[in-house]
Amino acid sequence: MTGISLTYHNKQKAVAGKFLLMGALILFLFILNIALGSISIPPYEILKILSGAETGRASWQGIVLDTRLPQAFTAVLAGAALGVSGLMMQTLFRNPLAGPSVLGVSSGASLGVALLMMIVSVPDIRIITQNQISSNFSVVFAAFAGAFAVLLLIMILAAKFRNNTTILIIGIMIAYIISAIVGILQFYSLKEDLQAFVIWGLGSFANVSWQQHAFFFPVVFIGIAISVFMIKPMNALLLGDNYARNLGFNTRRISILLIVAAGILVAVVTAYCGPIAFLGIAIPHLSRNLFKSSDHFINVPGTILSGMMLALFCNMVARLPGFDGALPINAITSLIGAPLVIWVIIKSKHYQKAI
Amino acid sequence: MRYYAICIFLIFVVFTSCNESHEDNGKNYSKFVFEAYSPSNPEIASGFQIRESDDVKLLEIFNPWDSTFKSQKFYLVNEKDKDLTFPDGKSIKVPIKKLVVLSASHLSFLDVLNKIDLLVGVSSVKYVVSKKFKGLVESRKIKEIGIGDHFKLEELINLSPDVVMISPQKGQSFIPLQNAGLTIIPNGDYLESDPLGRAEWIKFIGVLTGKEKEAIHIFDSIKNEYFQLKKLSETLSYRPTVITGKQYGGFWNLSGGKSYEAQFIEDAGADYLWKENYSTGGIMLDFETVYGRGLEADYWRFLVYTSQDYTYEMLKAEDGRYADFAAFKNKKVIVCNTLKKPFFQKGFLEPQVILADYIHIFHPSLLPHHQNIYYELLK
Repeated sequence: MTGISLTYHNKQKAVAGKFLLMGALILFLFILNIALGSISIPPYEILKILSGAETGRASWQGIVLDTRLPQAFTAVLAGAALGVSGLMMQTLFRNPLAGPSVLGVSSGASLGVALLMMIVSVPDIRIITQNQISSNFSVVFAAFAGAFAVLLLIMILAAKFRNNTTILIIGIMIAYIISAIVGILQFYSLKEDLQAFVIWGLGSFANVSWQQHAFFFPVVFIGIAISVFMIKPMNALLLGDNYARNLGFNTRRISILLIVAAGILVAVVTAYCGPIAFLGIAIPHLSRNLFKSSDHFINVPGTILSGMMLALFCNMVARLPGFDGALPINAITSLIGAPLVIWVIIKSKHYQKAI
Repeated sequence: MRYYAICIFLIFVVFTSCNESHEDNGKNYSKFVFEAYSPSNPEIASGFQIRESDDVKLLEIFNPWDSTFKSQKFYLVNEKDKDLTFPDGKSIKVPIKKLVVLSASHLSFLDVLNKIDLLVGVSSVKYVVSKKFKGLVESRKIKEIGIGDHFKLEELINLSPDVVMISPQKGQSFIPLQNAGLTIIPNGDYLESDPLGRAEWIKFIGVLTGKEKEAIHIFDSIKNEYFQLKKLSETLSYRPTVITGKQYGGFWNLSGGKSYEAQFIEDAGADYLWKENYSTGGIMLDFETVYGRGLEADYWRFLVYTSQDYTYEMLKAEDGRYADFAAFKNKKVIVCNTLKKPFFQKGFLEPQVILADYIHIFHPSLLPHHQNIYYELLK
């Protein structure tokens, strides 16, 4: 008896240690994100700017405070949001390939943006946003509207069908239908509009200004908060639907809550940063392997932390000096994320069995 | 044995028929030696070349994406030589009678040469500012045959134009149109990085529409005016610095250092901050690169498209950081509202006006009486 509790205690200690280490790494990466960029600013000057002192050059202040800082925050929030939503989907569908995009929510966002850019056309967007809440805002709004339309549809289906696999397949099919519609829109659009859409599709953490964080942050926070409340039910789901029901959980309500939470997170991230949902598949695998556990008490904070880490790392690579920041984030996340998942799976024999 | 006989017979037939057709064509084209350049041959534009022999002109259009500089050849023949054929290019009887234009920017070239009546089809009038064109399309004299960057194939074939003029894009194919016997001519004016080079494509329109002399005359007057203006600012010691473009989708889209826009800025006696860049198109940079380098630039130029009067407040609402730029603070933002000004429709043909606009903004004392047409300082 004491032996068991001792190993449990040891394990807890190890997990706590890993959390601390990851926290430190995140801090370190965050600092690198602030320190590195296409313009080189001496570290001493950066410290001066962060402490509020005047610097030699006005431009440095703007770069650090209004460009790098909000961008690093965006990366942190987006990484956490995508990781958690990926984890929720993988648990709900009991499928390691599930990710935030399986619900068709990010394709819904793409459809919204495609409709805006190609039917309304980029030059006209500014006419629509007559009161100029900023031209960026209309894109965010369109993405959000598209994502929510699909989310609503999925929720109705989830309420109708008990079987999660049915929902999964329907979600993927909806994604195909939407991408076909987007394809048709692309075919008949002007090249300027097409280019704008392609650029949006490459994703970027640079689009969220401080004013927009006032919306971005609370929404991500709510989504992640829901996921924290869902830890116990998610653990129950791992045992199977019948087990979960026997334990007194309303599995249908859990499914819908998980879908809503994941949907909100993906919708808001896609709206502001473009479709970078790939991170959502990779991050839960990273966390599960780091902690060698499928317990959600460990994996929810674990994915949040690994998500922050991976997103900050990708954002740093995309803006490394010399590239002039012209590397699209979506390419980087896939270039780094995909090999990472492969490596994790090859390396860990334990993991191959666990999935 | 019989097989051999048949084979030999066949080979003989093929051989002689080849020979025959060679000789036949030879009579036609061998007497033409295209060595002399036509008076319409461009001085500045690099996308086409015109040579002539007797009454036949050889129009060569260079494929901008082909590193071997292979050209597409068109032989422009008049009424009496209309049956002439050439082995390495298509013959076109000039002046052409029916023309389809798939890019709105080419319409003004026709307009200046008074040849709008040749038009039987355009891609779309959505972005055409001129009311005259819209009227013609509405009255069904000109058919709208495009949707976006695509066109209604069968309607286009049905119009049976002599020439379909297109704006070349990389990877584009017109095989179905060519199979239908249509003549596709690429008009690569927008690929010229020299402002005068773009205007010089009027000579290309001139040789096709039988308005050669007029085209040369129009271009020469544009060129002379442009060079006179350029001379004004050449010797100035004060050259303000300029940045261009705005941020979109996380990237700042600037004019390349060797682009059309950069050339104007240079010729107007100012220094484009990215002039050492070698791109003739656009460049994409992240915000901080432009912010770090361009914060103190004297002027900031971009295009807008809005039905309202664009203001500094609207610019600031797009991104709060824009207000940090010196050009913003000193009210030295240069804009052209392309919804209200025919910048894309007519600007190609008026580089001298655009240059005068710039000079008037950068060095007001040089052109005190100039009224700005395209570019204006934002108020």
